[in-house]
Amino acid sequence: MMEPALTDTLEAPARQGGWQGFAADWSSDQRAFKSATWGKAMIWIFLLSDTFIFSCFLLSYMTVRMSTTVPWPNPSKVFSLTIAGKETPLLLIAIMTFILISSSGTMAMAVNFGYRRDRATTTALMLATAAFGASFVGMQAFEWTKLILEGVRPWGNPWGAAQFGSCFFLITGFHGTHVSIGVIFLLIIARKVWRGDFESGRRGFFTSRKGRYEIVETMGLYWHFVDLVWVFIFALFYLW
Amino acid sequence: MTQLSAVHGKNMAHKEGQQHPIKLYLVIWGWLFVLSTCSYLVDFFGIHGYLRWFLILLFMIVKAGLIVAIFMHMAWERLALMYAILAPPGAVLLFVAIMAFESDYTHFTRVLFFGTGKASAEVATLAPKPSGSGIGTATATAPPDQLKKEAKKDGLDVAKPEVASEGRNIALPGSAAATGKAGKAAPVSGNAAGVAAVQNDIAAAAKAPESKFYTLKPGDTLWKIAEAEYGSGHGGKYHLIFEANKALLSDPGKLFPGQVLRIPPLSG
Repeated sequence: MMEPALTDTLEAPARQGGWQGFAADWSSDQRAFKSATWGKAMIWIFLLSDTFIFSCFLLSYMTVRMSTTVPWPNPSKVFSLTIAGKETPLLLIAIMTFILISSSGTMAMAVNFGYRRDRATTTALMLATAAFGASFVGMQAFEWTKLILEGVRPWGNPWGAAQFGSCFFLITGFHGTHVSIGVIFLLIIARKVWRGDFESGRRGFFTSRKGRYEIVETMGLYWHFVDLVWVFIFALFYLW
Repeated sequence: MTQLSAVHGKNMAHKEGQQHPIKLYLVIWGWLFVLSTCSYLVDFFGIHGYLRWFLILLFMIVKAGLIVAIFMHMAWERLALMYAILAPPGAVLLFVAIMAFESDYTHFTRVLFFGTGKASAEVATLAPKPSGSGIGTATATAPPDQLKKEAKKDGLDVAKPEVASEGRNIALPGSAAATGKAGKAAPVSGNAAGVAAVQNDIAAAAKAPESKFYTLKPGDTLWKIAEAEYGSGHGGKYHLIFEANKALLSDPGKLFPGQVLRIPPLSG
């Protein structure tokens, strides 16, 4: 009995959809999010607040870029890689994008297999997701090293507007931190799934509460969000 | 739990999480790859202007939509949650609009400020809006080649008359051997078809010996030139160069290879 809600003891009337359902869900003193457990509602609200943080970063980047009279460095050139003597624009960033999308794909399937109680597949997919995430962070470290060696600093760079460096390090750094934290939590939860914590009812180390397979979906929502933010960074920072 | 699910049927489906066929995720995954490739190709093929913006934003929105709707299962949530999560970021768009307006204005005042002096008002009216909303500028001036030909005919050494045929005004940079010849270049250009005004900035070599000249190469920025000409750490003095070439440059960010800039001496 994981959900001893009062309404569950009787056959609940079918819920309305559309606008009427929207009004009914929000009205009166009750749980507003009928389709989501509290855990899911909370991760969504956390992600919403994180959205605002990233929005503010991207917005300040837009503001400094539009208002500076100094030419902005061309990202297409700055982030190009020379492979076999041929300069390819934005190659590393493209690879990073594909890696993060792939990790999102494996994560979505991990959630699906989690609800099917397929522990081995879920664990494998989560570990694959974590591996993709770790390689993403590794490439980001490579990119940072390359730019720092080329003289990019938060207060200046050889190609133009000084704000380029501060925007770059802040935005990609904050995103990279999110990816790193995600990798750590993926490993923790993959271990729990593998050990069968959600079936044996083993209590969590910090929370002392029993976990559920829903945590895989919560983890998935966070991970997809990290991918989502990258979509915006890729478009607005690298392709502008 | 299983018995309850049996009783409640569809109502309980959400409590046990969403079950969709794996194929759905694979298809979305494939689409995300295709869309990412598309947005990468926009850069690879060097598409510019409004088309670039349109394509980049389009691919971005579609990708974000697929991730949120399918991977994050938002498409199957009730409207109560959808609106609670998706509506607030809409406020960000308003914020974007406000800040775009604001930074446009900031840029405008900066250009105005860096270009203090008698010509600043002129710059204010001539300079196209930085973000590209240059609606008011009339196009169709005399073809630069024609101007060049006219100048050649008179034996004038006008380096690059094509550089600043912005609007209906022509700016003449470059150097002439003597003031007399420089003075001739203006009427020559003015006689060409479609020219409303001529801004004569030709520096006669005899008149201003202290100024240097610099021909723009690809990849140059005013900052880099200032660093090179005034010494390392003086990049911030780029506005002196901008000021000295206001007639030629509408915007410190708009430089074209081949333009000849006057580099004023660093005083004080």
